[in-house]
Amino acid sequence: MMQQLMISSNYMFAAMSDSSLFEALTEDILMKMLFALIIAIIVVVVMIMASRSHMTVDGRTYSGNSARVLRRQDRFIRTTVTKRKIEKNDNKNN
Amino acid sequence: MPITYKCPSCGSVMAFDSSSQMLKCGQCESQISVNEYEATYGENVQEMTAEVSREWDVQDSGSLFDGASEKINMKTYHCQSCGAELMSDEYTSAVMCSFCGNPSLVEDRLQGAYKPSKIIPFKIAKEQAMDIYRSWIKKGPLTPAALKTDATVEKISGLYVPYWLFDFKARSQMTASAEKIRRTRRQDTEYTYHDHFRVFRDVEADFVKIPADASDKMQDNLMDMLEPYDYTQLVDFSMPYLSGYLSERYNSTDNELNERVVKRVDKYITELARDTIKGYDTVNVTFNQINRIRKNTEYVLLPVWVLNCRFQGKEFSFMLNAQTGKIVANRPISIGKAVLWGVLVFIISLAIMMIGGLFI
Repeated sequence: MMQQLMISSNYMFAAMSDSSLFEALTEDILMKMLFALIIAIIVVVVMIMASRSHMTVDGRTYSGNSARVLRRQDRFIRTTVTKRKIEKNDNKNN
Repeated sequence: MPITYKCPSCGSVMAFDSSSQMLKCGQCESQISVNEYEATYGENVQEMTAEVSREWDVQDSGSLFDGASEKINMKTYHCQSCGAELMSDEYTSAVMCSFCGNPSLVEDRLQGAYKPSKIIPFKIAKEQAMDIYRSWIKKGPLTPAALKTDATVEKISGLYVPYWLFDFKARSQMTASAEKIRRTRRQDTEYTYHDHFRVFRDVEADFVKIPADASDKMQDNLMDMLEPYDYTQLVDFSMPYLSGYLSERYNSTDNELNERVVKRVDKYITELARDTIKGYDTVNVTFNQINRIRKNTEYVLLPVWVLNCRFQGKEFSFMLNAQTGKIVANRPISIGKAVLWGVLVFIISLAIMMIGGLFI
């Protein structure tokens, strides 16, 4: 009985490891776990940073409305163009 | 020579009361405004001080504390209430007697070049400061639960911190290359147009009363975080405001602090100039010429509550802006809670991605 189970599990494992579907699924889950881990680390770091005191003043605190623009210039130089071929979505055919 | 302010009614020591903004007697609770006290009894205080200083000679003990890096000149005075020895370093201008708790002011550190021009009197009383601290330690998702119950305030001190206030006029001449990006689509091709611009701005601003703490004992970054103070509440300096609080004269002159403030001015004028460049998708500053002129400096005292706390064998210092109630401290973090939050966010984001993946 035990021998039969081992043989059948070996067959299954071999079949699944050959399958590209299994590889894609495993890769997909690992990627999702990696993303979830990154999100979790970012959230915790942000929470730690938010719990610390920080400066709440900026230039406007001490300048009030005194800032004035003495001269401004916006000069157009040139236009450059890049183009990109949009690939057709052929998922439907698959 | 030390000064104490005696109650005209009962002769006990008076201290400045932040709630009433008046001098208040600790014994008979009679109150008198600072200006009225100065006008009516100011000369008597001087006479009394002269008598007392003859009686209790100020002893300069020289370099008592020979620290590892520098020598600290300690001076001893005598408390006019109980006669106990008061020790202070060369910068201390207001002390509390460690035996009887009565306040004394060191007059020669509040006169001449060391006389502050203005002061913001304490607005927040010690009890209010404690309330703010108690509600503050309850907040925060990562705050250790035991902090609320186990943290003990070992000492709370009201301190007038010496500050220099700087007025600057600054000008930024900024050049930047900027882009406006637009996209169009024709059949199966997407065209991206980058319109390049050369942008120039000449911006000027007056910065008024940028503070810089002039005390070596206070950490500059923490003191900067205590800002802003409401300068409309600055009043002319008068010594009775210090009665009941600790204070010291400045350690650094305005010229010594100039470089620190200039860095802030440069940052502020750059931000203001940069903010005037609008309507572009990308902006890259290529040149920024800053000119600044120092217009004025003013020596003032600003109020701070300092709370020394102990939690799980470690000491934490909290600072509180004694005018606005803003608290500054690095809150203790619970590692257990941080891990728990991390696991929770991991599970939720993984679940969202898995469920979302079913529909894509």
